[in-house]
Amino acid sequence: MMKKIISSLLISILFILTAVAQKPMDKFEIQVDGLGCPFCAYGLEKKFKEFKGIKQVQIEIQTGDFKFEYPSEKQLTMDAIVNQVKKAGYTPKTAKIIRSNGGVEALEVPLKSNTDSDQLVTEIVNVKGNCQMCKARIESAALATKGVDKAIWDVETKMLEVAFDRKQISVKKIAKNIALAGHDAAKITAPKEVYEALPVCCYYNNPNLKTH
Amino acid sequence: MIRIISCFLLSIVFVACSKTQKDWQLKKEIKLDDVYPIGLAVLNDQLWLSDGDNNRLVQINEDGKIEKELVDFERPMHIGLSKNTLLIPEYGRDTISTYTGGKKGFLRDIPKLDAPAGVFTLGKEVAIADFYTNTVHFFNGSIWLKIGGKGTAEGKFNYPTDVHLSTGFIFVADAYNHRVQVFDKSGRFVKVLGQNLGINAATGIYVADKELFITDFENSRVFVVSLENELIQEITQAIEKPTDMLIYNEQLYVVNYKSGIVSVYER
Repeated sequence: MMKKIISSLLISILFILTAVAQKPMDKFEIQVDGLGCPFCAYGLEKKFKEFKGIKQVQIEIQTGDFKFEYPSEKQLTMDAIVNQVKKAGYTPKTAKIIRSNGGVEALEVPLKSNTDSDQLVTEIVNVKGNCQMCKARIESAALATKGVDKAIWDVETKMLEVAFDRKQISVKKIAKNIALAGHDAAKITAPKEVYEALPVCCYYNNPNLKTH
Repeated sequence: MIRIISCFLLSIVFVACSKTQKDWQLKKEIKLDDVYPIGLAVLNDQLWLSDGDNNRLVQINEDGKIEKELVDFERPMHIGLSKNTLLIPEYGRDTISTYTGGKKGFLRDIPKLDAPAGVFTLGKEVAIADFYTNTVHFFNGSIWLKIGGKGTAEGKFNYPTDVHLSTGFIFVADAYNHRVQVFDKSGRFVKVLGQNLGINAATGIYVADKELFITDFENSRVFVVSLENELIQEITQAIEKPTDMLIYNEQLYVVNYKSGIVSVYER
């Protein structure tokens, strides 16, 4: 009798352990711009550990690659990931979710929008910023503007080379969108609250900060 | 006339000698293998490094070879020393771990932490730099004092990453305010150091008798300044993303996170 009880108990424990071990997990792969300081990178990792149940966290400081797994049943969304990266003070460059059922969701910084090559013009705009994180933010804001074909910001010269479809958009509108992302562009000043919400290393009005 | 010239020459020689004595010169670089050092300490004449990326502490020899390894930490940062005990702030675990005579433990009865980045002891005094709460916790031998809070004003911090105690003062690496702040032992703000150097992320500090050493992480420099904030030397040779330093056997050891090199200087 006792043997039967113990056997049943052991089988039950084994069953539960197996069930837990086989819990379906979604995989997350994110690339973040601006990592490089261990305090920052470990901070990003720490913020994601707020997601209870997170597993297999891997972070490559040099490349900005960040991976983890999370229980499928919790249905962690792309928006939640992007918000958490921003909460830690960074800009997501790309993000991919591989769901346990095989589904894939991807977030990419747009490289090109629908533009008419005959109408493309290139202009150089002065945009304030400091670092690689600023670069990612500035270029993302420009490329997210409909009609922009190319945007490359130089950390050293603070100049943005932007190619755009002049029939769709003006340089003033592009500058406005960049300012709304926190960076003074052309003669348009970023809203104070947006500027103050930038990571501290992006405070381009702080004379102590040097380009990095 | 000869006397005047002699005095003049002697003065030049004296000044030149003084200058030479002040400058730290690179003696050697100790290349590490897959170690990304953040903090360092000397325990029983052995050099220990915290390796944050690999969640471990390593004890290395003069050639950089790992002789001992302690694992299972969560992002160990600026390690400290108390007699024969290594103190290890675990950034990812919100604890101060200890290592004494081969045994691991925890520092007990400490304030609640959120990403401790540095720890330092002097006698019965303990100081902890707590990154996310923008606070330095200081135990004066009987009670814990709380110093700081988030901000850019004097006495406030923007992510403190390291702390050092001298007999009279508490020195704090106020990393993203790009400066070092000094407090007295009652927690009162005393002064700012290094704010004029163009530092970008003052991540580590070391205080000697008359000098303060500051790492300028993003610009890959180490500054040596007097306690009156006069610049003594800017070290750039063999420096790549430095995080911490100490003086041992009259040599300056600087750990470089990015290159994985311990740079050793002498005067």
